[in-house]
Amino acid sequence: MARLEIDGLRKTFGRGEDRIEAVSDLSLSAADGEFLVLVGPSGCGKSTTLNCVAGLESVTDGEIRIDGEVVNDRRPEDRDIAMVFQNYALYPHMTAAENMAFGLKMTTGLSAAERRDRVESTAELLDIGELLEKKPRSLSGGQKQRVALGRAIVRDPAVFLMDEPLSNLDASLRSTMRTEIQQLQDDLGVTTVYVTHDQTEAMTMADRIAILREGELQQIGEPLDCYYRPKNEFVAGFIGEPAMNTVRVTRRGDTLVGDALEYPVPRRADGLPSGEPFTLGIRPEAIEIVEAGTGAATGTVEVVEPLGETSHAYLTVADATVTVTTDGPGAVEEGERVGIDFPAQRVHLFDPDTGAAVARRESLPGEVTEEYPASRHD
Amino acid sequence: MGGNTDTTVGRLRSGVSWSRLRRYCYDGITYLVYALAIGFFLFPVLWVLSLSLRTEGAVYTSLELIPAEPSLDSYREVLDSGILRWLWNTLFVTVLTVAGIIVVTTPAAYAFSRFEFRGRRSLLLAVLGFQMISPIVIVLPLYDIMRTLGLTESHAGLVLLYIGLQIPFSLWLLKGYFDTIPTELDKAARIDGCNRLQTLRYVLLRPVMPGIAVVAIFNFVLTWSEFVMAYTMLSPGGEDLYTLSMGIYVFDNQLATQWTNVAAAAVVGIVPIIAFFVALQRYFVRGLTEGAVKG
Amino acid sequence: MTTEPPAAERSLWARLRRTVGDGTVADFVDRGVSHPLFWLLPALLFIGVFQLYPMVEVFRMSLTDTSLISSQESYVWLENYRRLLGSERFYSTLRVTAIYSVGSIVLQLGLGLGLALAIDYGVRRGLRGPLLTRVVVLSAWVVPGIIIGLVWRIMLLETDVGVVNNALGRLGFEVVPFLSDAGMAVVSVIAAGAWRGTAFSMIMFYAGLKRVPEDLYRAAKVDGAGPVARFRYVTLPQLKPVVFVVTILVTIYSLNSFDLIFALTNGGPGRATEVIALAMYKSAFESYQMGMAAATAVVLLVVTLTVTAVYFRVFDISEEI
Repeated sequence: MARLEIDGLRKTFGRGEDRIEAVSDLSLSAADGEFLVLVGPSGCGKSTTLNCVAGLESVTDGEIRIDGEVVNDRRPEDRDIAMVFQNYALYPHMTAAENMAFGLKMTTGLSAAERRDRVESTAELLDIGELLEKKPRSLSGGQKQRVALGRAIVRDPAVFLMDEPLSNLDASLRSTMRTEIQQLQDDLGVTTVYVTHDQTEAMTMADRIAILREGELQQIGEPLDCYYRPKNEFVAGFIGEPAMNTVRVTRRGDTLVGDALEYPVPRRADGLPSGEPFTLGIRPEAIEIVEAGTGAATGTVEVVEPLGETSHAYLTVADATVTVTTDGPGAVEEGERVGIDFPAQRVHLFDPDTGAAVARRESLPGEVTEEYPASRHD
Repeated sequence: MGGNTDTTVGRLRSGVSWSRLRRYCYDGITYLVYALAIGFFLFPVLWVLSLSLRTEGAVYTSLELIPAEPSLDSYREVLDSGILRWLWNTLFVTVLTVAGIIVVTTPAAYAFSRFEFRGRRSLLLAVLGFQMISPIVIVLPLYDIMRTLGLTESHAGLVLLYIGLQIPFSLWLLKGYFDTIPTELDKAARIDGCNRLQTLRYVLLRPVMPGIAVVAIFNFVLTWSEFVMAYTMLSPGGEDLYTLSMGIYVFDNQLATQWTNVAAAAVVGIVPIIAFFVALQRYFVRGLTEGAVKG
Repeated sequence: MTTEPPAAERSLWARLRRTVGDGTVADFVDRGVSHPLFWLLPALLFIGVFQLYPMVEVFRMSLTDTSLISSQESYVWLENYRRLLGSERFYSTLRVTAIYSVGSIVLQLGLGLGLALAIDYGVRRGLRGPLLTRVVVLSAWVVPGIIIGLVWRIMLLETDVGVVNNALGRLGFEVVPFLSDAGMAVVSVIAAGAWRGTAFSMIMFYAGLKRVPEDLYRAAKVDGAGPVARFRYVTLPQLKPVVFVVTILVTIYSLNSFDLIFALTNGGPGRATEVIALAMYKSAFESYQMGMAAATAVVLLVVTLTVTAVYFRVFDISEEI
C-alpha cells in the first residue's frame, strides 16, 4: 500500500558538451493502488524515469518518495519495489521457481521452505504451477512473461514497475496479457507504474496516463480525458489511432478559414482574436462523410483500407491528406469526390507556435450533453 | 532444401537433373578436401607414433605405418629420462596459469562490459594493443624483471609470467561474451538485491560459462605448448624444473640420432594435449561460434 | 547448481541492513564494488608488470650496451641501431622473415578458408566427415611448436629415416635436400608452419561462416545468384571483419615465429631460415649482446606495427569495429 511521488525529477547523462537531459523537472504521483502508465515515443525519458524510481539510475535532482519517504539514496532492494522487464530478464540458468525465489533469497531472511511456499502460491495465482521446474529456455514468450510477473509479485512490493513488458509478445498474446495484468493489478491493489510506447496499451490499461516527450511531462490524466481534452497538439497526435488530422486555419470573423476548408468558429472559441492563425485538429472518427460541395470541405478519396466494421479512408483536401474513419466497407469509394463535416464539440484548436490547446472543451462526451446542441453550428 | 522443384524442372527440361549432378560434384570435391586434409594433418602424428613403436634398426627400412615388430623399448628409455617429471611440471604450470587467468580476467572483462567510465574505450584499446605485441619482443626485459624479482628458475614465477602475457587476448574474448548477455539481467539482479559482486557471482557467471570455457581451453593449449619463456626462465634451474617442450628439446639435442627415442618423447608430448583437446574441442568450437569474436 | 549464500551470512546481512537503516556497511561494500578499479586492478597490475614495463624497458635497453655477462651498462644511444642497419645479417633475416610471413599468410589463410568452406558446406548438407576433419586439423594446432619442429625434421631427413625422401626414393626420385638447401629449407619451414597454423584460420573462418544469416543466402538465391555469386556477394562481405582479424593475427604470429623454426632448422642451413626473432634470441643468449638484441626486438616490433597499420588502411573497416 503506497503512494509514489516524483517531485521535480531531473536526470542528466554525460558531462560537458555531451550532456544530455533525459528527464527535466518531472513531477507526478501515483495514488495508492493506482495503475499509472508512462507513455511517449522512444527517447522521451519514460524508461529513465522508471529506472530512477527503481534505483537503477541515480537521480540528478529532485525527490522520489514512496509512501512519503524519500528513497533517492536507497538501494533498489530497500525501496520495496519490484520490476518487470521488456525482455523478461529471467536468469537463464535458474528454473522458473529459482528465478522467482532469488529476490527473496537475497533480500529476506526467509527459509527455503517459506520461500518455496510463497513461490508456489504466486505460481498458482498466475497459473504457472506446472512450469516451476522448467528453465526459461524451454518456456514460450507468454510463459516467460508470466514467470517474470511472478518474480515481481512474489516479492510483495509496495510498487510494481513495468518496463514495456508486453512489447516482445505477438499481437494476440499481447491483448490477452493486457487484460490479465490489469486484472492482477486490480486484485492485488499494488501501485503500478507501467512504461510503454504503445498508446493502445496506455489507453486500455491505465487508471491515468502520463504522456512524456523529450523528458517533459505533456499531460497527465485519465485516458479518455487525454483523448478528448488533449492539452496540446503533441498529446492530441500521440493518443488515438489513426492519428488526429491537423489543418492550418485562420480566423476570419465568425469563420475558421483554411486551404479549401471553412468552418464556423465554435462557441467556446468566441474569445479568440480574429486574423490569427490556429491549428485545427479533428479526429478521423469524428468526421462524417457528406455530399460533395457541402460540409466543411470537399476532397477526393485516394485510398480506402477496409477493416471490417470500419474503414479508413484517406482523402486529399487541397494539398493535405485527411484520414476519415467510416462505417463498414463501401461507405466511400476510391476516386470519389465527397464532402466532410464534423461536430463542433470534436474540434480542437491549438496555438500553431507552442502547440498548446486553446479554447479546450470543458467536459467529456456524456458528461454535459446539453452544453452543445446537436447541431454543428452551435 | 528446395531441391524438389529444382529437380522437377530439370527433369522436365532434359531428363537429367543438372542441379543434382552439380550437387554431387560439389559433394565429391568436398569429400576430396576432407580426405586430403585428414591425410596431411594426421600423417605426421601417425608417422611419429609409428617410429616410436619400432626397434632402432627398423627406422631405415620400412614405410609401413604399423611396424612389423612393434617394440616399446624406446618408451622404456624415454620414461627413464625424467619425462614424467616434465609432464607433471607442465600440467602443474598449465593448470595454475589457466586458473589464474580466469580469476584475474573475469572481473576485468565484466568491468569493461558493464561499467561506463571515462577512458574505458581507450583503456580497452590499449589492452588490445598489447595483443599485437608478441612475447618474443619483450623476452629480454622480461628475463631481467624475472631475475630482479627472483622469479626465474621457479614454476610459480613462470605461472605469473604466463598470466601477465596471456591476459589481453583472454580479456578481449571474455568481454565479448559479457557483451552478449543482456544488461537487463544485471538490472533484474539489482532489483533482486544483488550488489555487483553478487550479480557477477550468482547471475552472470553461469551464462558466461561457455566463454570462460573457451578462454580456459585456449590458454591450456597455449600454456602447455609454450617454449620460449619456459626455456629462457627455467633453463639454468636444472632438468627437474623443465616443462615438456623444454625437456624434449634438450633431450632431442642430446640424443640426436636415436630417432625412435626422440619419436617416443614426441608422442608423450603430443598425446595428452591432443586427448585433452579432442575431448573438449566441442565446447571450444561451440563457444567460438556462438559467442563473441566480433570484428 | 544455483549457488546459495549461506543462511547465516544471509540473515546476518539482512539484520545488519535492517539495524543500520540505510545500511552504512552494505553501502560501503556497494560503493567499493561500484568502482571499476576494483574489478580492473589485478588485470592492469599484471599487464603493467609483464607487458607495459617490459615494453618501455626494451626500448631503453636498445639504447645501451647492456650484456648478459657483465653488470656494466652505459648508454650508447643509437649505436646498436647503426650497427644493425649496417650488417648483412640483419637484411638477410629481414628478407627471410618477409618470405616466411608472406608464404605463411597466403598458405594459412587460403587453406583455412578452403577448409572452413568445405566443413561449413558439409555441415549444411549433412555430409559425413566435417567433424572428423575439423578435429584432425585442430589437433595439429594444439601440438607444441617445438615438437612440430622435431617431428617435421624427422620426416624431412635426407636419409632413409626421412619418410618423405624414403617414399620419393622408392618412386625413383633423387633425394630432395629439404633441410640442407637454402631455398628448400624455407619451403619446409613454411609448410610446417602451415601444418600448425591453418587450424587457427580455419576455426575463425568457420565461426564467421556460421554467423552468416541463412536468410541472406535465401534472399540471394531468390535474386538469382548462383553458388559463386553467393560466395562473392554474400559470404565474402559478411566474412570481411573475420578476415581482417585473422589476417592481422596470422601476420603478427608469422612475423614473430620462433619455436617451430628453432627446433626444425635453428635458422639453418647457414642463415637461410633465420627469422628476426631467432636472430634476436641468438644475439641475446648466445652472443650475450642484450643491447643489440633489444634493438632487433624493437625493429621487429616496428615492423609488426607498420604492417598492422597498413592493414587498417587497406581494409578500411572503421565502421565495422
